Amino acid sequence: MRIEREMMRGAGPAAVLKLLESGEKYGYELVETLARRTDGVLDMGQSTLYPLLYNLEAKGLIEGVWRTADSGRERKYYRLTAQGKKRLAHDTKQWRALTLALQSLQIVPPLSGPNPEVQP
Amino acid sequence: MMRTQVGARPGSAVWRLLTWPIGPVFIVGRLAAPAPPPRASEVLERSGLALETQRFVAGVVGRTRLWHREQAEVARELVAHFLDAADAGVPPERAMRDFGDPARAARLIRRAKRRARGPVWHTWIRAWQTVLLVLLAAAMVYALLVVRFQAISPTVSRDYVAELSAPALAVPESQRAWPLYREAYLSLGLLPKGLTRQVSPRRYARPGDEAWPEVRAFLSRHADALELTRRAAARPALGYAMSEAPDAEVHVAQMLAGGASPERAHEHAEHLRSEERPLFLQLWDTHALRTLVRMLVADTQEASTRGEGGRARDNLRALVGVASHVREIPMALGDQLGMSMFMGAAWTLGDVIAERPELFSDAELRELAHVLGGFGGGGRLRVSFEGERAMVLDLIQHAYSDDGRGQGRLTAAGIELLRMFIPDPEAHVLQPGMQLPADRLAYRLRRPLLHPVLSAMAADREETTAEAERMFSHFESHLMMPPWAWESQPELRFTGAEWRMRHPVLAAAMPAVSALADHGEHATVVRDGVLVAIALELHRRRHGAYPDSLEALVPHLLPRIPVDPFDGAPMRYHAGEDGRPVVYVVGADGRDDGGIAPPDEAIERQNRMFWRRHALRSLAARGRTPLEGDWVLWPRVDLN
Repeated sequence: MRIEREMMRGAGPAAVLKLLESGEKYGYELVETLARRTDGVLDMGQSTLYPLLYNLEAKGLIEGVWRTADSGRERKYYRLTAQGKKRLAHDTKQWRALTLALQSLQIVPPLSGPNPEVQP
Repeated sequence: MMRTQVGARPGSAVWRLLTWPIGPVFIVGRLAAPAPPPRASEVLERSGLALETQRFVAGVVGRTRLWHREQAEVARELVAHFLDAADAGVPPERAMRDFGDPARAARLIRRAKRRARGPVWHTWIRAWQTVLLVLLAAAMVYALLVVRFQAISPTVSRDYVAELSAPALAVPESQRAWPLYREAYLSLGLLPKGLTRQVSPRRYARPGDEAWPEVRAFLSRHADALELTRRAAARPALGYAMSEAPDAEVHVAQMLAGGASPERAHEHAEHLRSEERPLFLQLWDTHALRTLVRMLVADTQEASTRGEGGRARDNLRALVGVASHVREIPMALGDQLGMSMFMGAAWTLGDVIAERPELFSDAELRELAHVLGGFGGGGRLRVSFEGERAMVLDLIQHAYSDDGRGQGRLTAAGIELLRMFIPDPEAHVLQPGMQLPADRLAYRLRRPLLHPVLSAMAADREETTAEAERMFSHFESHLMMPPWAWESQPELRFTGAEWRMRHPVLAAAMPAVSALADHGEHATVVRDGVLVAIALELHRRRHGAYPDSLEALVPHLLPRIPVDPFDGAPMRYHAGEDGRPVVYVVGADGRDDGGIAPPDEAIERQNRMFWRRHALRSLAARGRTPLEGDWVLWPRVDLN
């Protein structure tokens, strides 16, 4: 199932920030991880991911660093900034509140575990 | 190194760059700076991607239309992306398909990258956007103004020409003087130079001048025209009816009088016949009457030289008659010219009394005094603004549209009319010293693109009409005061850039009111000076000498001593140590200099002004000394 663009606009940045919380990642890695961990639901499309990364970078929430691997391949790795961490915490609260509200309306079924976060 | 030496010849572009202070700094900076980042195309060439994928990435990057540095950055990242896909075993076709729509990607990347640019760039863009918005708004407003401007046309509702011509048309033909003047003028042909060019700032040729013999011969040849003029001057009314069609024959005669060939004159007449002239463009035939008046003056001087008092007297009577007729022309110009002609008659009589006092008998002098004194009904001579008021109102209705409530706007046709009034800004003076500069109004009148703006800024028809009435009321009430009080009145400035933009019709076409006012006062004082001269001459004949003071003339030879219009005191008189009396007024400087004339005509002209501050301003503008001397009324001083 693909999420409509308007909903993706709100969920996409939060998802990317969350993925970077565990450490820096490069573009293709993010695409793959998103698709894999969300079972394709948040597969936002590669043409959308890079503009999203540039926007987050422009807002100072993430920063990109070029690194050259031993193989000689260079990639741009993205990592959270301090501002990005704050933003992720804020967004997480908001999403939780939203999820609880949707659960109370029975739009979203209650999750079994105490932590609604999707486990890797 | 070699190339730099060859290119750095003095005067060359390279030399200028090196010698320009920033040039060396720029070059050193370029040499010391790190190598510029590779371009997107170089990144792709070195990427090792399949050619098809390279083209795909190049398509995305190229569509972003970002700066080269930004494009290279995006290209590097997309190259890494597709290499990672290849490493993951994804075929190039699928990798490109998974990437999505390249156009959409380019659009989103462009938007995101531009957002990441610095505050200076954003400020610059915002400034440009603001400027463009303002320009767009201005263009829209201008377009609206153009549409409105093009949609309106003048609304003429009154036939002022017919209204002002009605009194002249009511005069029976047998009593109209104009047909005789016209006949006399048409018979003249080429005029002698002595009647067309002044020999000094204030007079034409007279006996003794080099040009005189030619003038005398001309007068002799045209004795019939002079007699016709004298007969015309004796008629009760001018009877000149204005017409929208110019009198082509009179214009032909005028051109022939100036020396034009008959072919050229008739060609001009044909052109005139095709013209229509509303009231404000009436150019009534001043040349005809001015020429006949000059002939009468010259013939009076000739008669004086020959001792023919009767002929001189008849000519002087005729001169006053013509001047009275001219004042019937219902325009300020008629009044102005009539006053000038009357002054010419008075000066000529004064000259005759000074130079050949025996020419006239006592009875003739008394008769001439009555003729002078009766001009314009006697008393203080004043110009009338009635015709001028009609002329300005006529111009307004030919320049403005009418929306049915009297609130029309200035039209394109109206602006074309105004341009005719602006050719010589200095010719339109509202008060002395208040000259129309080549200002914003003149600038906008000369530029058609600005005409819609001019129309929008100008007051509407109703307000312009009300302002014209206010101006005329002000001028008329001003003239009711004695001239020595004018100076102390606050200046009502019917001028200034803002007022002129608001009332362009009035700024362009209002008459030289001060000159009109001056003409009335000048005619009065010149007449009074010559009446005093006649009384002095009669006193000399009766008592063998001039009196010590003017009181001796009152009341038998003079009903009262005239007023000096510059200070309200009695007119000045100086018996003269050499037995030559002087009648004078103090002039604009307000100081009695004992009847001494100013050193030259330029100062004397300003000294005759009743607005002293304007006279001083006008002199100062010419770098001249302050006002000095008196205005000598009799005997006349010929200044150069």
